[in-house]
Amino acid sequence: MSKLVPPKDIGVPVPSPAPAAGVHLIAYYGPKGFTPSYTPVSPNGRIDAGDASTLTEKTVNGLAYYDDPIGSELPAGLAGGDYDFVFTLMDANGNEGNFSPAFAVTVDTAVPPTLGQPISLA
Amino acid sequence: MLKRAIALVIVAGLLVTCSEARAAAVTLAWTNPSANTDGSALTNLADIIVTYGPCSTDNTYIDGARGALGEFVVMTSAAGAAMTQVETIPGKGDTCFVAVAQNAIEQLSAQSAVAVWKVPLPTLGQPVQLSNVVHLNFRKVKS
Repeated sequence: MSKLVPPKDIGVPVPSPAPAAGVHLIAYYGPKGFTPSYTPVSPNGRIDAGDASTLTEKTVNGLAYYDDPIGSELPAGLAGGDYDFVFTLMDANGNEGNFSPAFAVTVDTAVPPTLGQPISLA
Repeated sequence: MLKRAIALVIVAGLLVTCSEARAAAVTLAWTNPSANTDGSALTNLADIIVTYGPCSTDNTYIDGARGALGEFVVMTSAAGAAMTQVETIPGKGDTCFVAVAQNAIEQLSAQSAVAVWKVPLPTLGQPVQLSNVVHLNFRKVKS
């Protein structure tokens, strides 16, 4: 049994004007420096974070951001390493906007060694 | 090699433009070539081949590394005719189109200029990490 700390949430700027209900926030990821594609091939991936209008928004320095809890969205078993994430908006027709600039995230799946059997020192 | 050599004979001057009719349905407009590159009349035009796909970051060419390419063929023998074609495309980001003309003996023209369809969705800005945000507060200082 071990505990892994998930990557921290990513904030994605809310565009102005904010998109209508039904527009989804989409995340694409791949190894650092990857070229994003709308049809990702493993190990790259795509995550539908849901209707952007229902996502939590946080304000940082006066700017509103969608709060994407990326740590809970990544597939189980994703290998550790440095990844880039880019984001798009997708409307109800399936159209998607252009990719955002990339944001680098380190997925750390390495756990410290398991300690041996403790003993009484007294 | 033969096709490439002969391709120079056909007029290269296709002009393709596109406009948005509704989401992911794109109207392409162009004028068919009317002459070969040697100045002779184009009398055996067979079709126009249109290729589309994700634009490069500067919207100057189709970048196949960013997604799948598509293609459709418009049969036409009307040299010099103004043409329009409505196509439904995936609508994944800005989409670039180029066209070539083909004659009856499968000789190809040079590529047209690139036409760009702009996806009607905003591009998101630079993402940030939300945790560990440090807020700086400034105290008022008497001068």
